[in-house]
Amino acid sequence: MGHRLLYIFILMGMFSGAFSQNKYTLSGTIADAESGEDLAGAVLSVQNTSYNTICNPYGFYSITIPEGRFSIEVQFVGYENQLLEVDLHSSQVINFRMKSVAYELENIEVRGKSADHNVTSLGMGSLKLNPKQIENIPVLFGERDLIKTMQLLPGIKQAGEGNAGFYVRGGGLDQNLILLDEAPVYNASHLLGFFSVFNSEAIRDAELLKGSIPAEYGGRASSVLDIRMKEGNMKDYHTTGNVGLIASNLSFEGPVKEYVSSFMVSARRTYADLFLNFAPDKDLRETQLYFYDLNLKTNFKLNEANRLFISGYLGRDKFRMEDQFGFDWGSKTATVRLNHTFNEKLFSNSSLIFSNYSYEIDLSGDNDVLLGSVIQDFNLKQDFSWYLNAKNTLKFGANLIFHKIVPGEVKTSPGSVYSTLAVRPRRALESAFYISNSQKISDRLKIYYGLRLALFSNVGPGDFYSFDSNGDFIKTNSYDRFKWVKTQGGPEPRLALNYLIDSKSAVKGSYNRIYQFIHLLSNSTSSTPTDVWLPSSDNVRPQISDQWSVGYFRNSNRNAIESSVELYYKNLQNQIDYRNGADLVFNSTVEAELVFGRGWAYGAEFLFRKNEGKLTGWLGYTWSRTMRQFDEINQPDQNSKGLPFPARQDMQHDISVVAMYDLTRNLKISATWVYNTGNAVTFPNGKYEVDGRIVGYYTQRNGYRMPDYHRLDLGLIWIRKQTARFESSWNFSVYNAYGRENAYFISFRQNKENPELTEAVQISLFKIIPSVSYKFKF
Amino acid sequence: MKNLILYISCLFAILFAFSSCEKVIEIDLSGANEAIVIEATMTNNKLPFTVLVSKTSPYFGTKTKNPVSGAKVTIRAEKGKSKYFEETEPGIYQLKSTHASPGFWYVVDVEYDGIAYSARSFLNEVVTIADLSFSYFDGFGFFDSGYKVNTYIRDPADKENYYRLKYFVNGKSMEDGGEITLYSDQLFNGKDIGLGQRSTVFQETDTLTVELQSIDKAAYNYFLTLENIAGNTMQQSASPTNPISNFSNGALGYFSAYSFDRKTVIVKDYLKK
Repeated sequence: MGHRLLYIFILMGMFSGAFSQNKYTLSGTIADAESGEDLAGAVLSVQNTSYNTICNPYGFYSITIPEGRFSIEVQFVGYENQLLEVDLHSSQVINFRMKSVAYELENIEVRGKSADHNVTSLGMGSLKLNPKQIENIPVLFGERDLIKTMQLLPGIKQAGEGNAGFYVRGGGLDQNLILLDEAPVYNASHLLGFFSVFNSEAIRDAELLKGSIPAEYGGRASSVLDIRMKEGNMKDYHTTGNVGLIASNLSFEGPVKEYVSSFMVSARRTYADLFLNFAPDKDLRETQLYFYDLNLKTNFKLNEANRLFISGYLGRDKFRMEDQFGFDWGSKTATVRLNHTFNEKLFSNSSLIFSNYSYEIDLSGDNDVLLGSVIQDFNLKQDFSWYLNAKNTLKFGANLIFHKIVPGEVKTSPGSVYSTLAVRPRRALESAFYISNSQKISDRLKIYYGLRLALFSNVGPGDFYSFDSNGDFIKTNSYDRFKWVKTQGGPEPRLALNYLIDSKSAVKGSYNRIYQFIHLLSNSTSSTPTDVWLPSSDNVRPQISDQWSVGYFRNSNRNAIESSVELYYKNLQNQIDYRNGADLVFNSTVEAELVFGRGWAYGAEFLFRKNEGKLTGWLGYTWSRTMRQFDEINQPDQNSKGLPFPARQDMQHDISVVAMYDLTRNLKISATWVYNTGNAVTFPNGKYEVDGRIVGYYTQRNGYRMPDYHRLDLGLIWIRKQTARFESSWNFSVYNAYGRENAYFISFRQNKENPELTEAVQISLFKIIPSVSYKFKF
Repeated sequence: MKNLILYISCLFAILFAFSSCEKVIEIDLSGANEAIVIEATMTNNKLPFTVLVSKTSPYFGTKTKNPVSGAKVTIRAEKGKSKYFEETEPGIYQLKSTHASPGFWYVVDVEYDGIAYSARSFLNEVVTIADLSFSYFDGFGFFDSGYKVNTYIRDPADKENYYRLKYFVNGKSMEDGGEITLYSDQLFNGKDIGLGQRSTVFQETDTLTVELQSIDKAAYNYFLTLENIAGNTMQQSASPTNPISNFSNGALGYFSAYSFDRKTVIVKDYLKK
């Protein structure tokens, strides 16, 4: 019933207004005048009307307006506004070339999109950042990181000290769809989470969607982090480098053919293990511990209507102890995309995407026993944007992903005493079809409605297992090649509305349903490289999230100050946890170890942001709760159902303050301060002796709190030189400036002098970490 | 798998060596209701059979031992007659003269305060230590240098086997850091194999006794999950829980019927061999 209603709704929306006055379409691209790079997210507005549009991720725009004379304004962060008088009596193609204001730092007004975009756009719970905006924010080890800056915004919580993992509105670590040029990244962290895999020199922009998630995205229950790589300068060659204490990077970009084709290549490597050379111990000196990243992108304008993009990422962590042990892990992605403009109203993007994450452990240091796991995707995606008329923008498309997951494999060399062991790979086809419409009902009311059909089918060859209700194995069901095993999924409605109260304020609301078919199993406190992804199957149902949110947005001081309040409630079905003692790695019947429950999260997010002037930054506060309930966990006694318990990421209060101040033209200072309630944690409620040792007695899951977390970071940027030919700057930062000993974890042990006594021990990391880096560009 | 965790711990250790900081802190842990703890072990080649019965105590309390007196403790072969244990000291119940045969299930029943707790365990045939060998470990970071021992066994092919290894130096148990050395034959069923050890090392003059216990699956799972909460703390479980007990009615602890083989050597003598 609901679907039919939606269908009628769509039809009505599309053709209302079709009989009004003559209308024409203005379309084209918006790009940087110097470099020729697209300016995705640039806003084009028709002055003195309520017509406006945003450039899509490929720099294409289309807007339909009535006949007449108008002045068109184009705005984008860090660029001069451009005004153009248009006399519209027929459809026209106009390509805008925007001038960067980078060399006029005195009065730079860093604006996100159009200044009032915050209020007028349909999107809510969306945060967009580009590396320019975060340049001044101090970070750990001086390594700029988009994800860590995102974590300073309301609703997003860091998964532990210095960690690049994040929780969005009560969702799990695996519920974030992290896309790098459309390719999903399965493990977005390096070095046990202290760095994200995103080298900020290679990134053009990143957008995090935590509230209203449009129908073109799906597959993860809580959020989308859509990251786009730089495309490369279409006119000049540039080299950019960063030399830091822990890592360095070098990027090179330029035209292959002026204004037709360009490329960008960026490489980064850490040299943390160089410090090990100073270690007193010989073995430590011979230990390798580093990671590297490589980003590549190139694009070709084939002709006016077609443009081809090819991009790739390769990153790997390496850890090797001489003759003893080797461990390496990393991701590879590749994307080939074709943009095609059928006409001034219909735009198409076709993508072929590859993504792979794997790890390999060499247990003996001589390749005698190798353990490994792989997750690999081939992904075909077709998206259409149809700028139907002045009031409706239709998007529709399809997505097919072929997953192959090798949960665990033990390879041994010939003659080894160990047997090889492989958990048979799982294969699945994830498919999605969507259609959505953004409709302007009146000057004040805009609505968005969409429907995505998400399906997941397990396919052979592969082994599937039957278990009884106790989780005991009954039998193996083997399937042949191309045999369909089970299909799950369903429709996902996506709705959003924006009602403008006046030109400065708006209320917005949204509702989403999202299915998630692959799940991360992890049994440690931080994300580790050996985390296993598990596909849905006959024993594992997909996670389903439903999120409702409402918000009030208000801008003041001519849009210089943005403020917003957002409320959300999220319901999560089929959440996964596991039985006590579950062996998650190299276990073919891991599904028997799982238990399923539900979760819910709610909260209020306050954001107050100043975008202009010498002092910029924001103040964010989040109040939230995140709960889980499983029948088999947190049972008050053996025969009762488990009681609800707070999830680890349930941190009620979360404050972040980010301030950046331009002292002079060449000197900028910045500070961030964060505070949050300690995360929920399980501590022992008693102790006893068994097997000659003292152990804790646990009665409540996550019944305790870690100590409150707070930290101040300071930063200073000193621009040495800034001309059109050469730029250089020094970046100094201090992480945890007042040396707060934040608890990384708390463990319990017997007192060394008196083993009868037990004590709690707090481990803290990173007490006052200064760092310096040097950046140059020519 | 355990090695892996050890190495990951090591990776953490290297990372944190430069900046981490450790201190003892005060935490307010509310007391829970007392729970009963039963630790029952029996073997075919050593007497007496012992059952320890106690209760949990407050975590930061000064006493750990909280023995339970006056429990009724019995053991029987699954289809046999019950034999009563005698309380020799508060909370320590023993059966001094009996014998057990491999290849049978045994049942321990404990009754206290009107509640009956019961567990069963399968007594496996002895798997013997075929040989020992030593290799020198050069030390690594905070791991000491010294000799590590490899215990060779011939794993029976016809069934699943689970092993626990214990090491005694000059008669003293060496299970530091909460490590429990456990093996399941999943990866080496029916083969001749050397079972390695973990972080402990031995010196040339040490008199080393290796005890190879052949345990059942429930005991293996108990010790595996015990180590999760008692073991190395660097890579702590996100949500620690009580080990999987084979006792009914919510008692903590375990009952393990096991057979064992021992070999005692002086490290130095063995190196020449």
